[in-house]
Amino acid sequence: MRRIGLVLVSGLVLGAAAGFGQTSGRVEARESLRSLDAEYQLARQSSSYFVLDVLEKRMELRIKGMPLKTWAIDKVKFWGRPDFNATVELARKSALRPPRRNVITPGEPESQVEESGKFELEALELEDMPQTFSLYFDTGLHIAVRSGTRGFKGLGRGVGEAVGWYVWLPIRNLFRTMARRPVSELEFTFADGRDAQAVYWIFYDGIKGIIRR
Amino acid sequence: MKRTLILAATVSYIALLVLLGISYYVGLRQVAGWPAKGMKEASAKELSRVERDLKTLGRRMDSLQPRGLYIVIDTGANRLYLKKGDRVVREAVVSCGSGDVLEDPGGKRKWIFDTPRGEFSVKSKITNPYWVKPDWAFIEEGEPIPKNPKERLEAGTLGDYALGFGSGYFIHGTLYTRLLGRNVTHGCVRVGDSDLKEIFRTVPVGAKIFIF
Repeated sequence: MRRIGLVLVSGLVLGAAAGFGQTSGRVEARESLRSLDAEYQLARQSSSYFVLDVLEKRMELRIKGMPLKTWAIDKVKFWGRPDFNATVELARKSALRPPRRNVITPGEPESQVEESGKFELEALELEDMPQTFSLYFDTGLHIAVRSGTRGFKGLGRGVGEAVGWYVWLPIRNLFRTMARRPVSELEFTFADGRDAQAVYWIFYDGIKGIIRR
Repeated sequence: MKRTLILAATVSYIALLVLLGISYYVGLRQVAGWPAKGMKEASAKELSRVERDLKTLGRRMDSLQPRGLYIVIDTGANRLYLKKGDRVVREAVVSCGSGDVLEDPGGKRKWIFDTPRGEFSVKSKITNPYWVKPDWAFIEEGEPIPKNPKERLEAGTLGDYALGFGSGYFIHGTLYTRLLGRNVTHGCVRVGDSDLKEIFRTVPVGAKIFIF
């Protein structure tokens, strides 16, 4: 009798597990289709676009479905419910110290100062890009991009960002939810600051992309 | 007075904790709403249709990708990749646009010296190219713009070969090899001699160029 009971319980558990697997498989298939369909619409155009995989902690710049550049993200945090698998468009970038373009004075020779074998040029280069900045999208989604900073300065910044994320953001979300505009926010941190700089360089206003989970 | 202050601080602290608690409750309920709204589960019949659609879309995506050799240029890293499929055939250090701004003293025109981004194709291949200096080249040097087109021609500046990809932009050689790897150009892509020779030899007219 006990054996029959055990078989019945095992059957129920296995059946439920199989059912859940099937259900999640169905949902995943629909999500994959939605995501691929959104990407196909972007891939048909002649501009590059990005695909951000939140759970895989990976972002790719693509064109025609081909990856041009891949970033591994060190840490990802999110709050709210970003519209996963739909297309988003970058409305603007914001940084505390955004890079400035050099304005050429006609007739003045270009200055090239050599410092320890490297030329200091009056040009906009990758190393002039910020390592901490924000990306604001047309859907209201905000992505905060950070890079790992060591030392005392990094610790101070880390404390400030933690208070912002764990105290200020939930309260802001509460009040915005009451106004029917809940917060949708992602924060990702790159281990290498040059990766964050490359994102700032490559993400132009109007770039489109897909955020997957 | 001291007791009142302590009481006020305690009440404020508790109020903040309550507010935070409610905030987290609301926030976590939103997050728990996964999968996204409108994402109902598919029936078994629908599932096979979805899987079929996925395969069709996958094939369509593949058909968008270039056949044969193509060029990828990373303007931030100043690198050019000659590729075939996923394989990198050759990698070269290049110089891309400086991002500088030049304004016509007359105030009517303005140039931003960025390398254009997106999808392009090789439109022309030229051996021993002459540079036809545009107006900005004279304005930048503080010289008057010549009326005779012959005065715009300059030999040697573009190296031995040039591959045009539209709107006056070229992949070409350079006299300033020590500046390869830096953003110094007016939008063209400068390549070292040996890399340029190989690119010119192997890449046909019509080949795709992807710049980011």
